[in-house]
Amino acid sequence: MGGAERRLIEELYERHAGAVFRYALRRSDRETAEEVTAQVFLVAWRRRGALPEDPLPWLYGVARRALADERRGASRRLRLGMRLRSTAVAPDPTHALPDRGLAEALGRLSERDREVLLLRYWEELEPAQIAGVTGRSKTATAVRLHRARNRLRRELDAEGGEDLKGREGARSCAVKAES
Amino acid sequence: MRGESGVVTSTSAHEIEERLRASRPEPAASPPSLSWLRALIDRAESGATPSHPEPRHRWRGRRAVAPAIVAVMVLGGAASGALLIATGRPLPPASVLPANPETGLGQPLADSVAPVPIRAPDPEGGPAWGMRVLRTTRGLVCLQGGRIVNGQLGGLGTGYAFGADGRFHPFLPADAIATDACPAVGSRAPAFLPGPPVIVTANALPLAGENVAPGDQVHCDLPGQSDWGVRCPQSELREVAMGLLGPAVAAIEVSAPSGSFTVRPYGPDGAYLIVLPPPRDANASMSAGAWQSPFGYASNAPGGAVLEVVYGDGSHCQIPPSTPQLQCRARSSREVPLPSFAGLSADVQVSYVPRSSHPVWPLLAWARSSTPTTQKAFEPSGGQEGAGPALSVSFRAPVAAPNASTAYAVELHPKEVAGCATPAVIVSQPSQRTIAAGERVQMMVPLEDRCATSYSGRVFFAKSAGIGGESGGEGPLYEAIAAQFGGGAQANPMKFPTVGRFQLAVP
Repeated sequence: MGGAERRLIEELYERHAGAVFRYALRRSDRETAEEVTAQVFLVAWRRRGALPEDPLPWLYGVARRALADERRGASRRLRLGMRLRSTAVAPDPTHALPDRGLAEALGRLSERDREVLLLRYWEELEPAQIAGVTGRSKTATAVRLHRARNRLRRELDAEGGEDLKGREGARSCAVKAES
Repeated sequence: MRGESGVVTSTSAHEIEERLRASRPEPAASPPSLSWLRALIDRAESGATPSHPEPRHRWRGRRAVAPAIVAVMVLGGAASGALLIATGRPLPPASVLPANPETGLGQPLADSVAPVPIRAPDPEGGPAWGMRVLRTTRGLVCLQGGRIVNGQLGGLGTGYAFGADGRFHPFLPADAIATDACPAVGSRAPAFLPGPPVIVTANALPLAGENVAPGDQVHCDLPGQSDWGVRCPQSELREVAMGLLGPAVAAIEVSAPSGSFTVRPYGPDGAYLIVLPPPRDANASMSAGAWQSPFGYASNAPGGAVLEVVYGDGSHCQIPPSTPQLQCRARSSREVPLPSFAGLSADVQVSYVPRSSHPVWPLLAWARSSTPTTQKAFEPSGGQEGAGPALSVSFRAPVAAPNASTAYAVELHPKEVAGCATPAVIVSQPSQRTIAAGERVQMMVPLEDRCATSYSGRVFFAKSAGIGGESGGEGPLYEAIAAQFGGGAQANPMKFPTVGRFQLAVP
């Protein structure tokens, strides 16, 4: 690799490795997060001639798939080792959250819904950037985000969140503007 | 809850957002140092072998005599033969199709369920590949590919799929019937689905369809599941092209690294199914990005096959096209035409229902904002199950809405009220059922607020000719409508024609 290309990848790493690593660490353990970060930037190195202009959503997308692959591997090792026909390790990054009500409600969402919410509120991506991570159109992503929020709200209501239920009767005309 | 101004406001959406933000773990750890990346790249550049995934169960069937010679066979009679493979559980669909065949996406027509009689041998041996051309009672056409065992279409328990049980797992027709992959073409019109060559796993799971439960943790690429495989070995990959080109196509000339050959499309749909060994380094390409094909998540790969489509009149096009001029396009008017604007006039009656048990929230609600493409949280009063205010909109349908890509919908523009965050636009759910011309239609549009305001609105006739995007199961119209109201580059250039307009003051 030439000096210019190496500098490009190194700059990419210096700028985004922290975000990618924290993304992975919020969804796995430290060892896995390091492994995923390595995979992400090696893929970036292989694709150095075709990196997108805004690389962060793309890096998150690669990290997301790398995490999925790690989970599958872990799940299979578990099945083989313990002779269990268990379901795979749930790809649920929220199980250890201190806000148990939220964690359980998030856990009942589909992986797609959960991921767009976490990309929005944990990684602070705009809907257009989330579209870059998930490979969907911007419009579909905006709609997915909107619906995921509504589904989360229903899940929180269904589990008897007293504060939310208390507000149900007083709900009125406000539409929360998305930041 | 009342704010300082005394105006009744809702903060639950805001609090949900704050709760999500507050829940974000803040790991104190730092990423590995830059020198660590340098070492990784140096090792990779020097040709050191990266760690490989664990060895997986591979299909051990007979190997094809000449892998480069791979073409479509059209079966005569029951020439498929029986294979001694144990059958496992079917792949369960993620969502159940509606019991009423005249609603939603409809039910598969019985005579479209059997696989079409074309087969493609697998380059590594084992069961041949086949495909279904499914049609539904609501006019959708969906494709489903897979391996054929004893006349059934399905996938193999190889790789991580189904615990690598080596069994055959039938695909159900419902696996393929989803908004993402099925254009609506009407009752029997030919569809135009020029599927490009894509990289899929040899177990055929990516070809099952979009309506597959994401919770199924199977390797490598389960459609509908965004967690697709990252490092599938070359031996578990195939390059597959599957699609419909219509009756005017005479031949498809396939050029691939493994050889060139000609395929004759099958039947009036011009169906084709081509299975090839993967191009070189296809697995490396898969680790670098996925593309959504009409048939699920799959990956294209540099150096893959090119299909030269030759029509009966001698003209030709390419899949994938090397230039925009070579893009394949539908050759005949197969789409349901939009009715003329003049023929769409109808009287619309509107009334305010203070407490309706409307079942769903609107399709869209856009807040007043300087960024019109940003979608805002919308809170239907009372939630999905509860009662709340609504507009009852009724009219006599001037034209039929005969399939899943045609519907009536209502657009509302509330008048802005000081201190009350009324949205700029509310769009109802589309009608989502088969409607005959002249039939009385009533639609309930939930209102988000209890502020006194007035609404101007219209009923419009919506139609989508394309493949739907990601949606919640409402049909291909969903994204077409969302795109029209989204603005910007995503906007649909088609303006849905107005059936009737109305105005109403809400106390």
